[in-house]
Amino acid sequence: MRPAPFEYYAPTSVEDALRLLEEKEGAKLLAGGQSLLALMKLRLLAPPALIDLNRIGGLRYVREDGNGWISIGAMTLYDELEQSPLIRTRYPAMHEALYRLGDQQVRNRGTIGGSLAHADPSANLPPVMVALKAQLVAARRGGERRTIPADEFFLDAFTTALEPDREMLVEVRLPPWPPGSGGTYMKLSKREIDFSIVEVAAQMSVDGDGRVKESRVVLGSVATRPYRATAAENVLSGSVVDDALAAKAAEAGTKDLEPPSDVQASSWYRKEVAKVLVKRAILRAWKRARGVEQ
Amino acid sequence: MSKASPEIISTYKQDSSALTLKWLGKPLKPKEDYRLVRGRGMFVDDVQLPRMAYAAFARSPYAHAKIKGIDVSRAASVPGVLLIWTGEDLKKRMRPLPQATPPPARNAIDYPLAVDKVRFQGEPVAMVVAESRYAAEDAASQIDVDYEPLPVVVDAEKALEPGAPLVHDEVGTNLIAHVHYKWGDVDYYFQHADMVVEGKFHYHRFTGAPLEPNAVVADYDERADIMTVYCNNQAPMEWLPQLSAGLNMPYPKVRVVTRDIGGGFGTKLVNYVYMVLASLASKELRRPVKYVETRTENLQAAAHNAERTCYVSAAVQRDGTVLAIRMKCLDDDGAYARHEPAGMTVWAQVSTGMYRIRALENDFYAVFTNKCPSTSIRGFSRAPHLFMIERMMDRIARKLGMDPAEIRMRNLVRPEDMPYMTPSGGLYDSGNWPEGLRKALEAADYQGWRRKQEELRRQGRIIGIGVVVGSDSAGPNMAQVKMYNPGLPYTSGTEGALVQMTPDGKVRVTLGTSPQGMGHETTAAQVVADVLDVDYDDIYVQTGFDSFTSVYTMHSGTYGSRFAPLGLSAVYLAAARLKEKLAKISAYVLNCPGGDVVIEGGKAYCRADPQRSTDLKRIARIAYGNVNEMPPGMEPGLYSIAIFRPPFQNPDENKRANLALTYSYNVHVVVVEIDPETGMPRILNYVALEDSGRIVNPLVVDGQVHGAVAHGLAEALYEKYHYDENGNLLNSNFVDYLAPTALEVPSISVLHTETPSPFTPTGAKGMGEGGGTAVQAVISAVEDALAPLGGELEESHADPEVILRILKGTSS
Repeated sequence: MRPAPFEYYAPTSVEDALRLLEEKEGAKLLAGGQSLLALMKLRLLAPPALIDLNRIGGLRYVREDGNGWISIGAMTLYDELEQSPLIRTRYPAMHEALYRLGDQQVRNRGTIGGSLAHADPSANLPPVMVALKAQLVAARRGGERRTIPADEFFLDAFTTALEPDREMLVEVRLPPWPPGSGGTYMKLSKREIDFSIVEVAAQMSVDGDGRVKESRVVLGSVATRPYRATAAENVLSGSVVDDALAAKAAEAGTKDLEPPSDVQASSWYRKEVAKVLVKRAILRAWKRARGVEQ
Repeated sequence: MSKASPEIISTYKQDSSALTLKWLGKPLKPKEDYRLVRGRGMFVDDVQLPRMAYAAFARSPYAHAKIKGIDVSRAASVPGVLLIWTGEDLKKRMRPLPQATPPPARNAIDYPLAVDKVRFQGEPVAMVVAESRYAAEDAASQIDVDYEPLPVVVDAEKALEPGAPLVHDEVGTNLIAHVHYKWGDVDYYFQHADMVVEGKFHYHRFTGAPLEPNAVVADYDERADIMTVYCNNQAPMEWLPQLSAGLNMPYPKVRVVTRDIGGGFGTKLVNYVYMVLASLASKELRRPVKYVETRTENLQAAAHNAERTCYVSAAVQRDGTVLAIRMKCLDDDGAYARHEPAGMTVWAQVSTGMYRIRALENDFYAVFTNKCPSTSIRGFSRAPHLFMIERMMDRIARKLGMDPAEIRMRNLVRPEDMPYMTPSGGLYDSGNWPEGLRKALEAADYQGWRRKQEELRRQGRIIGIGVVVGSDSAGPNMAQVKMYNPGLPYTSGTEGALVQMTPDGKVRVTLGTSPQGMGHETTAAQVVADVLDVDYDDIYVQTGFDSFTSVYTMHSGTYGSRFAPLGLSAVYLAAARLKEKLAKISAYVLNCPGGDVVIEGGKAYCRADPQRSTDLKRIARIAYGNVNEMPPGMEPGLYSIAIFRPPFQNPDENKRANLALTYSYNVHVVVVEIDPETGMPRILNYVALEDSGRIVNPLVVDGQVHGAVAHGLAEALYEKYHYDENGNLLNSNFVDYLAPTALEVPSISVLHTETPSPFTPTGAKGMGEGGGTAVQAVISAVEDALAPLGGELEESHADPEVILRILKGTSS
């Protein structure tokens, strides 16, 4: 469990990190290291150089902007986010995803930026970002910034819209959802600390009668990128949610899934469970939006 | 199948008159824990020696392949590399590892590094020793092996079919051994029984997953010509002959040392391959060589349990009486017979379980496959056999419309039949097993849960209740290996101990065992304190085993739940002898009338005149220094060595013998709820009742029960190895091999009944393994939940997908 030899750089600014990333061919950015170092120790990855982002100041924060958006620095730890009252009250789906992410040791080191840039199809946060309509901010040399909607950020397994060797993720921006909104994150795994077999993030806003104005239902672990169950969202749109409607939406939203099989679960099982989790997540998100359930 | 004869009972009966019962049974703080909880344990990786070099291995990516060539040139150019050996290099330096199997399996050639071909994924192909572990791993990753993949066999039944790929060409078959047992008139019972119930069961493949992986530091001291091997082997004396032969050094020159061991669970019985390799390399380099397994290496290639498939028939009466069992079993022992096929005899002979079953037949095959070699994992062989019998009990109960607790009650061995002799000559020592079952059912509110199960079912909730009984046969009689290989010169099951009162009046104890977290320092100290009637804090038990200072036999070690029945018996005997000597010296020193002296509370006084007294410290000083004050002619010093020998015998021509000294008893009652939509099980209630004879320390006993439950739960719901048809192991790290965490293990209510064993001087029985009872209990509960849907579980592992398929009535 020893990695192959590599060079190590510890820049103190985003600009220096980006310069190194451009100069050092095949270099990898090191954030919390919770995925990267494990892969290196197993020698599944052997990057010639690591660029450690931990000494760059100003990338660890959660703050509310004037316009109701919440901005999160890319190097903010899972644990800091899990403890944040702002996240817990505004985005319960995200709080639940963080609470159920790995174990405390992982949460003490892992970062939101590291997780999103790594784009593991089973990671907790990517579906939540898509469900919340997050905006991801990429930095380039010379202070240039580019904002990428979460919908467009995750391209494939371990592949993002970040331009290789030129861009790094520096910030996550979460939009305000109107009053009468609610969301949840649900995950099914054999052990609590595991990557999910199936996970669902659901977020919605409802009108005074409980009719769904807008909803987002996004699954993880069932495809190579977060899977937005638009067919489910369409079923919900304009309706009051009850058990039957949630079941109908779940059926529609998971009909076209072709999830992978692996040692933990078959494609069949993932699809069965996806249906169940989507149904349950819709019901809870709706109840939260209505303010009838915490 | 009846109460044992008085002659046999008297042979086994032990004298326990030296016990004072002042220190036994107390929840004294474990002596080991103070260092362990502070991170001050002494593990192999803590051994740091000057000029130490580090080993790493290149391992086979194939399950079965011919080695056409190995090119080490790239690896050799890595800076810091000191030595690279392939199988061919090893062949020049040592003989193949000895085989305990009968012919023709005995023809298998087993080297710690593959020669000519690889036989399982992860098999070591080359060893690198370098200045650092990094350099060693860099070099190992640059060893170029030219493999020619061969057809693979991963299924025990297919392995015996004609034309199956041969794991060992020189054996000519994949059969390791075949044993046929037949005790009692099986045919008669099957002809005359009211009915026959059948089942096929599979006990799956998993491992013990200890916190500390296999590790060794071999240190050859050229000046003293002594090889010191710091290891974490559970029974190092069993392997000293191999080390001695491989190194061409006599036993007094090979020092094998264990200290703290971070769990073993049986997996560390077979790590001698690394002991041999590190020792040979240390002798070659004249430097200490360290090797510590990675987790992947441990999960992939250290030791798995033998998978077992059984076809079982039971001859049953309408009233639920089980008359006889007939079965055919196959063990998948993997690529080498390094510990197995021992499982063919351990408990195979008492697979009648805890029941008054009159006759038993077992046609038993052990088979080579292209998988990791197997060994005895916690609950070894008892667990799979008790799994079969407990699964059968549930099936029979359902067929008869009986409650599963009731059918067990009806068949349990009765207290009036104790000590009880099984059809195979097994001698169950003591216990009131029906009483234990009643107590556990009551504590678990079994009837209440049955009512609740019905109620909740009407609300669409799925509840299952498992009730199983099990046993830890403990303190094995090694002569049982003669059942598959009559030529093996290895019989009985003994253990040694030294108890010395040092000149300062303190007590030093060494053990023959190599504990891996079982608290031997604690329980040995309690027995010594109890017998000598001195303070627990004055007893110092040496950590681990040292072949230069410990008293040993060739059975010495920690496996088979043997410490309480054998190890503590040796400790008792040594302490009792020391007490006699202390009494003689004290009586002389105090000049007690009639020589009648009492040793009590660290003091000695004349029974007739308690004013005439002395503390034992003075006696100790006399015994070592002021020797002229001792009784004339008495040998100075206060050393006491004992080796406990149970009255074991070899199996007779019908393979009848008692193969364990004590038989602990346990009852587990577990309630599970299953999510009807996902198949996910959740434990709602867990009650474990244990009768392990006299409890030496309840903290230690309860800890073992907790561990055994966690382990069983892990096997039933979380831990299972998955091999594909090409012999690739698909889960060889902790991301995919799901060892449960504290979040998965439920709160466990532990209850006790305490029936001292008449066959050990302390009355204690072995109990650490738990007999796999938790596996059976959890599977029984899951099956109980699924029973209304007609669902039956064939395997000892039920993951949510298996459960959901049954709920949905779909096959995989």
